[in-house]
Amino acid sequence: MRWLRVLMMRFRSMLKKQHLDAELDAELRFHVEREIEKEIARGMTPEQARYSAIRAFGGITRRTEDCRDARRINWIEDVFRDLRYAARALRKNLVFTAVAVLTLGLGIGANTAIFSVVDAVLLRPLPYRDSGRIAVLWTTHTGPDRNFDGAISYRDFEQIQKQNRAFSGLTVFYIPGWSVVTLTGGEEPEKVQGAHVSANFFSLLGILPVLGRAIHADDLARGERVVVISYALWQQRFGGSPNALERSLEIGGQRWRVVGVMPPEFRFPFPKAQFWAPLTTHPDWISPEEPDPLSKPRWMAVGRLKSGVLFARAQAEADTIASRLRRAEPNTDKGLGMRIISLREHMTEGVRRALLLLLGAVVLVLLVACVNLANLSLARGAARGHEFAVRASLGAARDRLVRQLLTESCLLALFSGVLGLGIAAASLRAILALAPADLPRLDTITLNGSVFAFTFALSLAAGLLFGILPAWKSASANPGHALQEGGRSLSEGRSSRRLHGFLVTAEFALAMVLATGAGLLIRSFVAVIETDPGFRPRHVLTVNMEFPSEVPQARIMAFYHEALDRVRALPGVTAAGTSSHLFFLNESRTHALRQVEGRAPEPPSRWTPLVWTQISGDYFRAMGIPLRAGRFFNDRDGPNAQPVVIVNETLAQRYWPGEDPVGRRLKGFDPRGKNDDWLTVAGVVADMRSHGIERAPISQIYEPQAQRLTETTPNLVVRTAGDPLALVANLREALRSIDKTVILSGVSTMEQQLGEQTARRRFETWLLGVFSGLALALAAIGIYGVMYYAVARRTQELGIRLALGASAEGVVRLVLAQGMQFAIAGIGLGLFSSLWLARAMAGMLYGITPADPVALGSAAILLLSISLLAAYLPARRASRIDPISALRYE
Amino acid sequence: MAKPTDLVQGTLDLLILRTIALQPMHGWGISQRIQQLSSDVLQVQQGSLYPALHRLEQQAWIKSEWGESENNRRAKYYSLTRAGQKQLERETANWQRLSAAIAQVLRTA
Repeated sequence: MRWLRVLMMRFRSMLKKQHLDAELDAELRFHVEREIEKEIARGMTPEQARYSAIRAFGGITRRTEDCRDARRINWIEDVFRDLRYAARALRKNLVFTAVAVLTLGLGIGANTAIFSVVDAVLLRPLPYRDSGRIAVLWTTHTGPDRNFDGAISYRDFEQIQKQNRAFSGLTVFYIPGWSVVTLTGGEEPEKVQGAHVSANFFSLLGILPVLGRAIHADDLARGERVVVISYALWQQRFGGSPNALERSLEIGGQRWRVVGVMPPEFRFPFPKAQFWAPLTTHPDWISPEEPDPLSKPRWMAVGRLKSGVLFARAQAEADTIASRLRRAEPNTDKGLGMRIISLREHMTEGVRRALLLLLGAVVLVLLVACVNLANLSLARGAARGHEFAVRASLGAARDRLVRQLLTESCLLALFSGVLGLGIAAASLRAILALAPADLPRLDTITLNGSVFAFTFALSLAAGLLFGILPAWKSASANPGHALQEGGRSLSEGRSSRRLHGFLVTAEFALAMVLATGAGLLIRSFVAVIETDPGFRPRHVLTVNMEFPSEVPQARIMAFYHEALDRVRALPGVTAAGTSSHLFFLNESRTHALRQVEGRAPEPPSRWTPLVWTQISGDYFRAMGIPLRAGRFFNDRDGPNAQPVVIVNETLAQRYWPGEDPVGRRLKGFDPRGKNDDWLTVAGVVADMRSHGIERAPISQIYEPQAQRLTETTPNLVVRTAGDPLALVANLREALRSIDKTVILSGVSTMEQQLGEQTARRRFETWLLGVFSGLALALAAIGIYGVMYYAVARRTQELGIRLALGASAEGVVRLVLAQGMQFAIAGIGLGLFSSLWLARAMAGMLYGITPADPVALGSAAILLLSISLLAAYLPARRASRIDPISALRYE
Repeated sequence: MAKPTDLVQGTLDLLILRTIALQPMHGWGISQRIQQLSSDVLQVQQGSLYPALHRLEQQAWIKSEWGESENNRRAKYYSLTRAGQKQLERETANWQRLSAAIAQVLRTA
């Protein structure tokens, strides 16, 4: 029963506070009066008695506080009181509050924005059942016969299935390039990425369709033409109506029955996958073009680990199986290796480093903001010294004062957190627009519950971080001292100045590190932009022209021929050509020429990537690739003429260093002509960076399409006089008028294509630049504030100096020097740390060394000038001090 | 007169409970009574008396009531609750056990 009474007492304490205080007052007063009476009875005078009584009591107010403390067991009441007091204090000094909230809000906002990206891309579990157990079997190949990494043959897959113990299930599907189909039956034929999957694909992932059913083992057994479509495709082609299940999709001219629709977030195994069909319905499965298709590496495998099995164990087992496969199939599987990678890791491999870098950057920005606020709070705390001195002398315990000040800073930080959320919401849209399109789970980036929780926790942490120093300092100040000086300021002089200076140093060090990082990325980006791509990308349009698989080769050839004629006749076109490939961005194989006349064959250890490209028309002129020696192809290079090739400079340098390759003869891996004829080099062209703008050019051979009738050249390249995009409508019409079954896709300018290649770098550079700019601004504000307060505090001293004959410039120089020394120390410290950062970032740089002097130097100069400017303005005020009024100032 | 010894908080609680077990009293009365009963050996620190009283009241060992004092002035009277009575018995037993143990150590050590 006691607890009930206790509870009631607590309620009473909370609700009837004033009443209880009055009671307490009366009670204590009664005691003192009785004590006085006793002393008077003993013989003291009334004044003596009063004095003695109060002294015995030990100070009424202090005891009152003690009693109130005894009453106040409930700390919630404390917190509310502190909050109210904090709100009042913040409202009283609105300028400080506004500046502080803005400063910290920017820092928190940046963190929230980046965290929402990190959360969606890196942290959030994938939307599959128990997604941590899903792993990709990623194959690697060493040696010259490298095939595409990640791919395995179906036979190998069957072996893995039989031999493994670590997986509870394995599923397999064709690699993406083999699952691109043409959707016919719409207005225009459309090229679409899909996936041909095995029977247990959906059950392994644990994903259910939103409509209908998934693929079953029966479908595979019967080889039925059924298909499960994506949510987007469902909306687009069937208007999202439920009767889609009775309708069919026309793929490559054949009707496929739609049996299910997947949920909108389902993107497996390829981000652009729009449908899923049974493995056994793939054309290569039904009627393969080559013998023994199952031994070719055209599949990828994904598995679910048994519960309790660690990745390390699965990896060890995979290594064993791989070595068995290497021995069993020495031809196809030489150099085969297998890596077991968790699905999430596989998906985020490319972006993880960049995202972590950005996260580190925003944390630094937040730290700068916190240091700024600590500095401002310290200065302001000095101004409030009087208030705290009075409270301390009235008996407030030190830890209560500290708690009060921390409540203030946390309340401030929470306001900043709210502002930060707003800033993040606004800037998130810009970030998403700028983000590279292949960022995994890009469309799930949003401000959700965990982001809110993160912001809240971060705000509290920031409040504690920047509040602890000023709180401790204010609360531990000597009250007597503060009261004596008329309460204007707390302990002065060197120690406090050094503290402020130390904080300024910290700020500038952090800002310097950020500025260096940004500088390095900017320099890299500029280097990438300025890299000569090997051709002239302005005013070039490109279109991909493909045909459904049943169209005969002859018709395709005729189309290309006619297309070039028609396109060249269009107004505004200066040159046009076609090519089998524009870029070889994912090329990882190494190759060599089979034979080079007059030379020994190249040993496999010296092989580097080598690619063949078929071209027609004025391809080189359209792309703007200059001729270095010999000639371009012409109409005489036909099927009955001598087989010719054109090589690029890299290949020429590789096989004929220092010599003229024109007229030399070579042979590639596939025979040409009637009798495995020699190919003659007709010309040499400049290198084009077909392997990617950031990578070195690779050996490339071009041959005329007319001499290679089994290959197609689906990429049309058109150089225009004016804006290439203005030509698009005419071009489409011209092409479709030749043959209506042509599928046109990938309409873009070469500049856009190059832009996509640099999208990721642009994203990182932009963001890091913005963050470091933010940190710079904050550091500048910080040093301005500190200098401002420093001058204000030393007004008297400076006035004396001026009165005693110091020149205005002398005073300015004095103040400036004392302020700048901390900034310079910070810049130096930051410079030192950024050398370490640069080494960590080395993988992200291009065209510059990690310790790039230009980047480091300009960052240092930038910070120095900003600090100089920010410190100079208040220093100038020092020179304007009127000595007389300064001296009079008491 | 020997120098008055300072009282530890727990002991003060015990003395307060004992004092008002006999009859309800106000704070000043309690301090005088303790001094009196201990023959002036124990002088309650007046600063710690009232916080102790309020604490005991918050814990519902004692309850308070405003009433008329001897000289017709309003004063706050404290009395023991039933839970407080039990607490007093418990604390007294503890104290006796403690002091007996200490005395034994002092005798034999």
